[in-house]
Amino acid sequence: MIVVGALAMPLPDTLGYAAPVWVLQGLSYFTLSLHLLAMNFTIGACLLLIWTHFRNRAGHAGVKHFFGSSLPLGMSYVITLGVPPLLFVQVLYGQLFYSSSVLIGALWILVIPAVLIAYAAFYYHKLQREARPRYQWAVVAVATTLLLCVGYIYVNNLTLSMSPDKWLRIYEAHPGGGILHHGEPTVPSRYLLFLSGAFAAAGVALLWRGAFLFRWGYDTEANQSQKLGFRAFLLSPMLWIIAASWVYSSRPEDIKAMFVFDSTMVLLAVGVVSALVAIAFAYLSVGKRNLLFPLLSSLGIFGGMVCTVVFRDQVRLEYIKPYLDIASIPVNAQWGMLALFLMALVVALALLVVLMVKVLPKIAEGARERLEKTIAAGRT
Amino acid sequence: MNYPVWDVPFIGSGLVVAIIAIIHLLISHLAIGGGAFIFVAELWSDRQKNGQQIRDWLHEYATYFLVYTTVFGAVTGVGIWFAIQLANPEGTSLLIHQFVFAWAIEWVMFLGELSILYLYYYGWQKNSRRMQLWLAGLYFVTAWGSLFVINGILTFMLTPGAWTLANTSILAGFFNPGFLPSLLIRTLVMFMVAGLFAIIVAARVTGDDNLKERLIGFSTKWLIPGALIIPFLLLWYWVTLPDSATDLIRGGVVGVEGGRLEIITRYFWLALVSGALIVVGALLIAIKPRVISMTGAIALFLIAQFGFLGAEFAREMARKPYVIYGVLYSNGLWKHNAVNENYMQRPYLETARWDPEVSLLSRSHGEWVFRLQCVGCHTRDGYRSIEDRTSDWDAQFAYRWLKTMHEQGVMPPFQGNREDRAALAAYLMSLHDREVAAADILATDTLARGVAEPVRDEASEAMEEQQ
Repeated sequence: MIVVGALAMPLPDTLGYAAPVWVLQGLSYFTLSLHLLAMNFTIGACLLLIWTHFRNRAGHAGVKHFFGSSLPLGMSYVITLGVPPLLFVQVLYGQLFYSSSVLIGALWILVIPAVLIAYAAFYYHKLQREARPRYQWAVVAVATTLLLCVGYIYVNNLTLSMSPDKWLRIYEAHPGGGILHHGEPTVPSRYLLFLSGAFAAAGVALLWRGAFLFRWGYDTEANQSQKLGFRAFLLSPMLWIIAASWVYSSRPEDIKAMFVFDSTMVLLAVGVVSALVAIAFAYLSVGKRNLLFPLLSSLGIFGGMVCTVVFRDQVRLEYIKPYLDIASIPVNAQWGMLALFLMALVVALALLVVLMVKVLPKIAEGARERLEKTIAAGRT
Repeated sequence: MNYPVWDVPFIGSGLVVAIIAIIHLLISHLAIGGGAFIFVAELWSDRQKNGQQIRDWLHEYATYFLVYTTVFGAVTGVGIWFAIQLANPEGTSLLIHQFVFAWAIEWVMFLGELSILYLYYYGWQKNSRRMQLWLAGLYFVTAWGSLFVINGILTFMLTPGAWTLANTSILAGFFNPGFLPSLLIRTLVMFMVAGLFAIIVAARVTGDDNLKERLIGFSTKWLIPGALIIPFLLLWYWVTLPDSATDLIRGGVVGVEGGRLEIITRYFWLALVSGALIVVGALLIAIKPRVISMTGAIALFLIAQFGFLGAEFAREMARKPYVIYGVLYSNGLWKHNAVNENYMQRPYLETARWDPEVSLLSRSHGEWVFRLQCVGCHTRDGYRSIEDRTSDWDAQFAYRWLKTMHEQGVMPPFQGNREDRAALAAYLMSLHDREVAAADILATDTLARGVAEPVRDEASEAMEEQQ
């Protein structure tokens, strides 16, 4: 018999890290939080669109139209903002991430057609909802289901990447990667945790919409939008409490120990405070044309996302401690390239802000005119 | 083998990458060239009597452009990334770690181009002419910036130039010998693709032959620079290629005269013939613009898709047997390890990391050697089928051939000792339902050589002693 090691842990890349770990982690945290925000908005918007379709109360038609128009843009930024976290996870934890990806390879690659179909469905819905109104909800429902499956595959892969002890057994049985990692008890709870922000993100979008509608003089529609937004928003903290308790209870004892009087507790506290800030300003937004409150509520949600992301990474480091110490990986810093990247980012963001300040009010003006026409048509 | 190998039945991991990449390439070239087209068409419309009509048409162009490039282009772009990390994690890891901030800059460019495109498209009715021009111009600049970055990484794979594992200078790797000719070729190709796409949208114009004629005349002009200059740029690109790559293509071309059409030659010709057909087709359209139908315009666009298919396959094959030329073989073997005899002759499965416990010389032994060394490029019975390639082999031939397979220049060297080779040879025979015991292959070889060798070779014993 040929005796092999029980652990199939690849060696880290010979080139080492191109920047200190904290830089790569910081970039990863920031961009992943943005991605999660866009992802939660898109999922929340889909669910609320379907819900308003069947509920069909006063003001729901406008909400449905708003989400239907926003979904292609939301999806676009889910994908675009998903690129850098995918890049930095490969840099920081490449040997874990590549291995787990191959182990579920057949399903991992299915993410691409699933996202493609969902994205195309959103455009189909947006461009055809008036010409072919029947079963448009089903188009969005199919896209939502596909995206929910994609999320599950992501959580599965990243959870599997933290369990090298299981890899060889899985690979031996499924070298084509045709099976997901269902045996891990933390997968469903982690999945729910990352989706728990969906109603808050979509809800706060309705608060923004309501504030603009107030400014344009459509008080009834504005109120309906903001009330629905706030009610939807409140679902998120409830889901988060359930998911967080479930995540905690499904962790091994040594990981649970992390949760007690550690820097992670501070992180958790900041996250809870951010969430409370988000809820408070969401409440204050209702019935007002003020844009500051939805902004502060959005920032609160983003703060909560950042804390969740950082917390998740700390838990990952604890999980992989027996297999990989990222502090031991050499740093061959590419300072010049890092500076070039940061410069490009700052210039691009500044340019986009300037362009948005000039163009978005005009786009909003166009939206207002279309809304006026729609309402006038409805009255006649 | 540092990473597990994704064992995809019938189509193989390489074809998964190729399918996604070929679809993406056409769209990504359109996404950049289309930006230039919109900018120039905006300027052109200002100088025409029926400028508003042209701008209305341009909005239709932008609608198709936006949906096609953002949905299919963005998703297949990420799809390539997913596919390469599955097909070749070792190579992907090297590209990611070497060029992490180049990738990040490319993302910044992409974020910029996407956001600007939305501002241009959704602000169409309300933005000033000046703003629309600025947005169209900025879109093209950021989109071309993303090409500039990705081109450096792509050309690095075939012509890494002065970059080595000892000299990991990003400038040496990025501004490699193939960088500039490739950048120029791609820039001109994307103008051509933008023109072809415009011909499709122009062919939709009905009821105004004059407008249709003018739009098609304008669109076909976008093919002229590429048709005139790309042949010379290809010659420049050719001289930057490694000798073995040019030898491979030359050998294929020479082989045609002897009645043998190598696969790389077929793809090379497919690219050239597609390019020629597009130029001829565009010329005919320019002469008779009113007769062009949607079907004809789409057919021309699809020929471009075949052109990309040919060019992409030819480029990939020219890189054989490497994924990073001269550095890393397609099956994850590092070149510096390949020249280390002790490393290469170690019992393969003891060092491969990703194999279960198997009995020495069993079918499983051969199967796992096959999976970890061969499946990165070959399938058993589909794409690059190993069954087809070994159909007239016998066990002894397979056993001997494996030892020298790298001498042809398109395969990496075999890793492992005599037992590994015998197990693999027996496994290959089993794919044809010819059951041959690996131990018999070894015994026959020993007899043939007339030397009473032990079954396990010296390298294996040395390893055991070390352990």
